[in-house]
Amino acid sequence: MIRQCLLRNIRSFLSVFAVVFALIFSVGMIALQLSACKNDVKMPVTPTGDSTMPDSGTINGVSESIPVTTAGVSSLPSVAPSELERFEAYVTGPFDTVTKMIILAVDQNEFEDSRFFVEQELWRYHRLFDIYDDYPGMTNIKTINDRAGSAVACPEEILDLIAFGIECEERSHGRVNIAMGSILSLWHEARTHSNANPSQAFIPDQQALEDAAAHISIDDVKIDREKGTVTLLDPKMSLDVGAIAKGYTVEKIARALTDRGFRAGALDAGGNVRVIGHNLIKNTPWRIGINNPIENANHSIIEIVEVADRSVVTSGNDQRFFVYAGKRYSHIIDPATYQPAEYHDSVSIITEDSGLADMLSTTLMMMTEIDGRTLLSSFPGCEALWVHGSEMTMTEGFERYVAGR
Amino acid sequence: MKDKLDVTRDRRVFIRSRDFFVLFALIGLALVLFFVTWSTRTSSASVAKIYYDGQLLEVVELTSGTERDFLFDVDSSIVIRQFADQSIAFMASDCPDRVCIRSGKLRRPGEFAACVPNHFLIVIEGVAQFSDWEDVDLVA
Repeated sequence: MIRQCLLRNIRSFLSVFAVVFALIFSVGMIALQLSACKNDVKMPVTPTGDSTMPDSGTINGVSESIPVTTAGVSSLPSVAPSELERFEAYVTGPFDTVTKMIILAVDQNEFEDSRFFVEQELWRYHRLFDIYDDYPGMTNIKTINDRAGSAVACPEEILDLIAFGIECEERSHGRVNIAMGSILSLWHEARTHSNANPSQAFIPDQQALEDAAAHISIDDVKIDREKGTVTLLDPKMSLDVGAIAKGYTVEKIARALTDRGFRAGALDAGGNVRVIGHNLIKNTPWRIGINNPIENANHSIIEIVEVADRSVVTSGNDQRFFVYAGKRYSHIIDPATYQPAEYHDSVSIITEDSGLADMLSTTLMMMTEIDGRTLLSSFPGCEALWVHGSEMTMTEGFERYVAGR
Repeated sequence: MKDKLDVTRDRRVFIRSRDFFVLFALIGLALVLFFVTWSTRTSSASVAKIYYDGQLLEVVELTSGTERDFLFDVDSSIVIRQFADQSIAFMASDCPDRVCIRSGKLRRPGEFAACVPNHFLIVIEGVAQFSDWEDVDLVA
């Protein structure tokens, strides 16, 4: 009797177990898929900017139709990671590149508010630092170049950028010189013409380069803070802030976002990456890939670093160049030789300030790795990675950022 | 007596055939649901969205084995090619620096490339089937 009862119960138990097992298996499978889908949630992507791109010297309206909410932005309440969503958006045009932004926000309105702010600021700084186009009612770098030889009243942002440029020239030992517009314009002309007409490619005449080099002294750039003016004492000189303007702007925007109570996110302006905070959703640092400068390589990324509140900036020869007589000519021009830098394929810098990182990555492209390491020792908190062909070297400090180490 | 023995024998069978039927039916249902969601996920894994002036022009599903060129009325100088290896790239443009072409093939969700002078942008979206090695937020 007891045995029969036991057998009956075991059978019932096994039946129930089988059903429960099958149910758990089903639910588990579905949960697995749902979990995977949640992790890879489709991100709102808002390509923007082309409609606001200044073309042929005209200012277009900057997304005035986009609703903006600013109330309460500076005091965003803290929320649980599960309440945050990851948004992405693109701005095409400022600084002749595409800027990608990652924004962690609680809803679409909060995202739109930050996205709109970044887009506005990118265009504003782009116009201020533009050396090619005029904008009605605006004094920009081109205005200063056009009026070389006389004092030009400038907005505070331009005074600050030029002051930063003068500091960069000194700290880079002359490698980054915003006053060498006369030389850079010759190479720019050669590059654009040669890329458009490869059969008629040319490089600047050496004599023309040497003539232009007579007008690149940073000492001839004078800032008068009291009067708010910039004067190029040499009427034949011109400014080109391409080596520093993008990183400088990204840093300015990142700091402004932080002041506005921005939760967390990242900006990538053509390889100038600046992350703000850490990834609150995953509670991890941001993972930034280092671009492989080698054409048609098996991997587009050569290393991954994990950073929070840092800038990761790479300068390289892989995108902006031209070919003449079978030789590749980079867009990074060494003021010492007036010729393109040929030491490395790319240099990446990690440090907090994006402007400094931009300047250093360009500077280190123009010197040997040994000289670069010596220079870096005078920049605490700045770490570097060099790529030359299939070889990659990095400072010890850079290695500490590498994922998995 | 015989009936009593049969009942006893019957009770000694721990799981009857109908229990197995229920068990296999539920496992089968689970597998079907798994493969349905898996296949749906894969089919939407990677798409390339092509924008012109901020407007979406084309959504290209990056399926394996498909290779074709995309030409556009808005700018005849631009050629974008979808490759059989589930990637896409700018192939031709009349822009000064050819940065768009030199951006190379795009395949990883999150990758993007733009032809700024011609107002074209390609963004890869979808579910990443990548390894940890490729799982990055941005590339510098």
